This record gives sequence, structure tokens and C-alpha cells, in this order.
Amino acid sequence: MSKQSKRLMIALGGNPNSGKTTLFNALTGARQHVGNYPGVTVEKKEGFVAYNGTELHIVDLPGTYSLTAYSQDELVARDFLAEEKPAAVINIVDAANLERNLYLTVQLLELGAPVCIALNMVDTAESMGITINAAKLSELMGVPVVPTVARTGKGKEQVLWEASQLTSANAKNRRFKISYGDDLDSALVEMEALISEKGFLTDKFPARWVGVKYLENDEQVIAKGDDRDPETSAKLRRMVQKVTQHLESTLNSYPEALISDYRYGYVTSVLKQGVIQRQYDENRLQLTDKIDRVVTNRFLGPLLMLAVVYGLYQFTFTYSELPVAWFESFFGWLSGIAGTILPDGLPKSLVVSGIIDGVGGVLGFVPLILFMFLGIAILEDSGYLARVAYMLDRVFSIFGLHGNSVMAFIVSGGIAGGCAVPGVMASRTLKSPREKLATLLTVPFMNCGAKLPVMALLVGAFFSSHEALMMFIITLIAWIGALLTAKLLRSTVISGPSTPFVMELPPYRLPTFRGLLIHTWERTWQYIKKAGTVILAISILLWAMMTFPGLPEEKAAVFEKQRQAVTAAADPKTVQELQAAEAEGKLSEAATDLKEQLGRIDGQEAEAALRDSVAGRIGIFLEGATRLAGFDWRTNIALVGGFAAKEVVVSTLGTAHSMGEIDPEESGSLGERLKKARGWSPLVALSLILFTIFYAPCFVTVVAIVKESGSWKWGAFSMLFNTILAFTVSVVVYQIGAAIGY
Amino acid sequence: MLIIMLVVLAAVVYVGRTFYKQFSGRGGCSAGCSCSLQNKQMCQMDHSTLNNIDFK
Repeated sequence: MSKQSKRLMIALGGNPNSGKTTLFNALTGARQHVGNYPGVTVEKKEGFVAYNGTELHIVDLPGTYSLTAYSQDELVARDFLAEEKPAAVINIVDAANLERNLYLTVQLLELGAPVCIALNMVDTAESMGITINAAKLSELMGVPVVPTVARTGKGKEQVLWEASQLTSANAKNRRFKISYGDDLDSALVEMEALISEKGFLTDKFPARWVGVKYLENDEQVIAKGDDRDPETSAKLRRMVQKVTQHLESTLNSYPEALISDYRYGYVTSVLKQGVIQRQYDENRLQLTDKIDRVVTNRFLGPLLMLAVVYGLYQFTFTYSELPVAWFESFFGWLSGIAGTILPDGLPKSLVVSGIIDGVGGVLGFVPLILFMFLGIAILEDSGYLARVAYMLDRVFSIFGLHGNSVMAFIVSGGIAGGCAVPGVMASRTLKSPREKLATLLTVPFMNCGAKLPVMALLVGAFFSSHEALMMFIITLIAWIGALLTAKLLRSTVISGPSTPFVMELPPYRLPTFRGLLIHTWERTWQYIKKAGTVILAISILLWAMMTFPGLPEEKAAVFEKQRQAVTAAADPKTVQELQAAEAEGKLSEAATDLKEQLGRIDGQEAEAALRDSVAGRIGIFLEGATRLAGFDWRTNIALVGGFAAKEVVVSTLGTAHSMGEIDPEESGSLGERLKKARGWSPLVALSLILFTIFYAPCFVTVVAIVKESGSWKWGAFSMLFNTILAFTVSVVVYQIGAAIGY
Repeated sequence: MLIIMLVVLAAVVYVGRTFYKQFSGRGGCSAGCSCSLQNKQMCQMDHSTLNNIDFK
């Protein structure tokens, strides 16, 4: 075997927000996103690095506080370590929170993993007056300890070297064992002997670890044990029962609590042996704590949070107004040029109405998206979003949701932007399946990045003097709707108790200019890419549906007769002038009048053709019901298209309102067209905004819900329930609005 | 007309392929996600997580 062909797998494990993903990026040269909030890595990520002639396969595991079986991310990490048996585990430990981080280290060592500790963010710890004796820690824990600053890459070479050294057999086979007190230790000796004798799950786990998991009542390990050898599993459970009864009667405690206490006791004893030195009064408040006293204050915090969200929208709409106008002008110009160059017919209709007016409508909002994502990146990188999650936990528990649901909501577009698909995925960090289901069924109500152009279009066109305020109200409506729905679900089909929530609040960090640029660009580019691929393809399909089968000959003949009649009634000189002046564009009053008359007939013919098309017939079929909410058949086509992706609502409105246009050069932006269009008013726009917030999630989100819930039933429920809810809300608002004269 | 048909056919194939990838679990967020790369990383899922709910 050549030196280059050698390949080793190394796992990165650690607490959430300990800098794992940053170290992963530093080691592999990848550009995985790093967020200053816990829970960035829910699934494992992989990368490769060549080191000393060996190819290291680096796997970034989800951030976890422990290796219990309470949540999906903990199971992902634990299963990976047990099943894949990596050659080494680089345990990233936040130097400023050593005690809590080493709890996981203890569990990794108990699992028999060959661990190397990367003592990360030592610079931050030092700035807080904390000095750590890495050599002493290494000596006491019996594992290599390397001080690192993942952000700058400091220590990464040494970490790789230590990890590659761990792969030698002598380092791997060291057994780590801590005492859990006389009662549990005695039980464990007995259990370990039985487990070893029977070879019970020992192909994957150390015998003592299996015993500890039975004592901790670990559902996954017990289920595996029952499956593998029911008899031995039953014996172990009887042993656990016996020691549990003894502990209850003597200590008024139970094994799981004692095990946790002893692990923390072990960590504390290690730290007290000269590992950690604090050069300040431990009770002195750090800067982060001082800021948090204001930012997360029970009364001031929520007010500040609302002000921040409102400020973000104000910032977005104010600074994007001019560039959005430029983009709209550009696409208007492009549409005009294409309309002039291309001959009348299907190719012109496809390019102008299908592509430029369709996709251009979506791309026109790129500056707004960019400013919105910049604002969100600032909130995220500074650590403020984690505070939002912390504060909203109090509210969420009232509605039967969990604190971890907040991050899923925010990822989905809690502050407009984001995407419901990763939001649905983020629900897997929830321990309770009921809370998880309630979360994944309600996150699609958030205003994702795809709904943003729809909102921006309608708000910009009909509520232009209060854009930020309107967007703020839309955000509140989405949250209130989601929470009330969650309460409804948790009180009926998925009722059950709420589980407690503990969330780490990361320190505030000053966002770096480069980081902000990268995060903003990544998201904006995804938006542009999506508009240029999937949205473009769907727009073409919808254009085809809005074009074919075309107007029947007899109907087309009626319009042709009208044209002939108008032309015949006109002065022949005027007709000649109109035909000759096509290129020059200068017309007499009579010729202009004739041109307008012919244009009106063209427009009526185009509208008749659109009504007769496949999409038009669907829109007209639905109009009977949707009229109650104020939607005409064109809007219905857009909303049906929105099932594929919500941006399609904008592109389809663009196409539908362009196909009947007479002169694209004079048509203006889509917003202006909607303002002038028959049947549109601020009330209709509001009704459509509400419908867009609540109606069925896009196809991809439905698939994600199906996969996460494991059942099509919940995907179908989400589509039906959300659409019925959206329709009801829109009808009520539209009818009340119409009744009081809006 | 032929060009139009080809363009529409290409769009049908592209949308079909994208949704099929999504459906078969290989698409990640690609068909519907305009969010950050970090969030897209969260979009791979090959198993159900809700098998043990005891509904009323």
C-alpha cells in the first residue's frame, strides 16, 4: 500500500457553539456556514484533508451536550461513533466553559472513543481572565489537549498531528472509568460481567458503557438489547430495578441523577487540580452578561426585540428602494428591447411574458433580499438571534411548543427570509415527538425567503407609505397564526406534556465584515440561482399552460373582424400612416387613436386567449370560491403555481398581467400594473398577503414534512389544513373589509 | 414552434428531475431553498423521527 492511499476517519465532536464547524472549515478548507447560535450542525458534515501522506476523512458531528438518547442530534453523534468507529475523535471544548464542555468529554471517553481535546477559543477565555493549564488537563484526563483558536487556524496543525497519533493501537485501547459511588459501582461490576459473558452488544459498545446506559434507562440501547438478546436484557433490567429501589429508599435519588452528579463531580475535581485559574472575581459580570441584563430583561427585552425586527425592515426597505427601482427599470428596458426586436408570435410571448416579466419580477427583488439577509447576518453573527430564541421560549411553552422550536421558526423565516425546509429539519433537535410534530407543522407559516418577494411586491404596490410597518405586522401575524395553530394541535391531535428547555447563550461577538459579506452573498446567490433555474423552468411551464391550446379559430376570427371593421372605418391615409410610422414612432392624432383602438382589441384577444388556456380554465374554475376572498382567476393561477415554489406567485402574476398587455414599453413594473389592474385594491392585496402566509407549504417543504414525520398523512394534513385556514382568514378579512367600505 | 416545444420540454424535464431528486431524498433543499449554505446542510434526511408517537 502506498503512503498516499492511507485513509483515516476523524470525527469532530463537541458542545453546540463550541466552534466545531469553524475548526472543520479550518481543517478542510471548506466554507460551511458558521452561526453564532447553538444548533448549526444537525446532520454530520464531511470533508477531506491530506496530512503527512495520509488522507484524513473529517466528519463534523452535530453539537451535543451529552450522548444520551433524548434528541436526534445526540443519537446521530452517538450512532456514528459506535457504528463507524472513527480512528480518532477531536473533541472541541470551549475554553471559557470548560466544566460544561468536559461533561461530554467524559461520555466520549466512556464510550471508548480515542479522544484528542481541542481546547478552543483560548483567546476568548484569556480575555475573560481565564487561564487553562493544557498540560495538566491532558495529564489528568489521560488524553492529548491542544489549545486552539479555530477562527484564526491557530493550533490546527497540532490537533491533526495529535489525532493522527491517536490512531496507533496503544492510544486507542486505554479504558476510561469513573466511579459512580458504591451502590452503582457494585451493580455495574455485576452487569459488566454478565454483558461480557454474553457478548451482549459488545460488538459495538464497551460492556461497562452498556451497563451505564441501562442504568440511565436509555431507550435506544434497551430497545437494541431487547432485540438482540431478550433474556439478558431482562436480567439487566431486573438488576437496574433492584439498585433503583435501593437508591430511592436510601438516597431518595435514582441512577440517572447520580450518574450525572458523579460525572460533574469528576470534571470539577479535575479542574480543581490546578487546571483552571481565574484572574478575576468569579462573580464579576462579564460584558456579555451586562448586555444580557438589558437585552433579555423580562420587560425591556421583548420591546427591544420588536424594535430590532421593525428596525431591520425599516433598514431593508429604505436602503433597497432605489436599487429595486433600478432593477425594475432594467427589466422593463429589457422587456421593451425584446418586444421590439422579436417578431410577434410565440417566441416573443415566451421571452417577454414568460421569462423577462416572469423571472424578472422575482429577480427585481434581489436588492431587497440582499439588504434583508445582511440585517439577518448581523443579528445572527452577533449572537442576538440566540437571545430572541431564549426570550421566546417563555411564550412558546404557553402554546405547547419547545424552546428549541424557536430556532426552527427563525430558520424558517421568523424574521422574513430563511426557508421552511431546514426549519422542518431543525425540528429534529426536539426531544418530544409531539412537540417536534407541532413544530414541523407550524414552521411553514413563517415568511420564508420565497414569500418575501410576494410580500414586497404587494406591500410596495399597495402600502408604499408604510412598507416597514406593514412587513412588521405581516411578521407578527405569521407568528401569532403559527402559535395559535400549535396550541390548537397540541390541545387536540398531538396533546401531551411539554418538556423543559435549556439553552446556552453564546457570548456576543462583533460580526466581522468578511463574515457578513460571505453570509449575505451566500443567501442572495441561492435566491438568484433558484430564480435562474427552478423558477425559470416553472415560469416557462406556466407560460405554456397560459398560452395553449390558444384561442379557437372562430373566436380569433371575431377579433380579426373587429380589427378589420376599425381599420375600414378609419381614413385610408391614417391606416397608411400607422403602417409606415411603426419604426419612426411619430403619429398624428388620428393614427394614435387608431393604434389605441387596435391595441384594445389585441388586449381583449390576448385576455380571451389567456382565459381559454389550460391555466386560465383552472383559474376561472376556482374563481367561484376565491371571489369570496377577492381573488380573480389570474391570481388563482399564480397561487396554484405557488404550490411549486412561492416565488412563482410573483413570476406568474408577472406573466399573467403581461400577456394581455398592449405595449410592454409603457406597462411599468408589476406593482404598478397590479395597482392599475381591474379588481385590485389594498384590501385584495391584504387578503392575498394573508393567504400567502398561511396556505399550503411549497412542494419541497411538504416532502420534508413527510420525511421528518415518516408519514404522508402529515404532509397531506399540512397542505389541506393550511389552505383551509388561509382561505378562511382571507375570506373573513376581505368580507369584513368590503362590508365596511374598503 | 419546434423551438418552443423543445424549450417547454426542457423545462418539464428540469422541473421533473428536480422534484424527483427532492422526492427521493437526494435533492436537499435545492428545489425550494433560498437560504444559507449552512441551512442547506441540514436538508439531508434519510429516516423518520416520529415513529413512536402514541396519538389520541
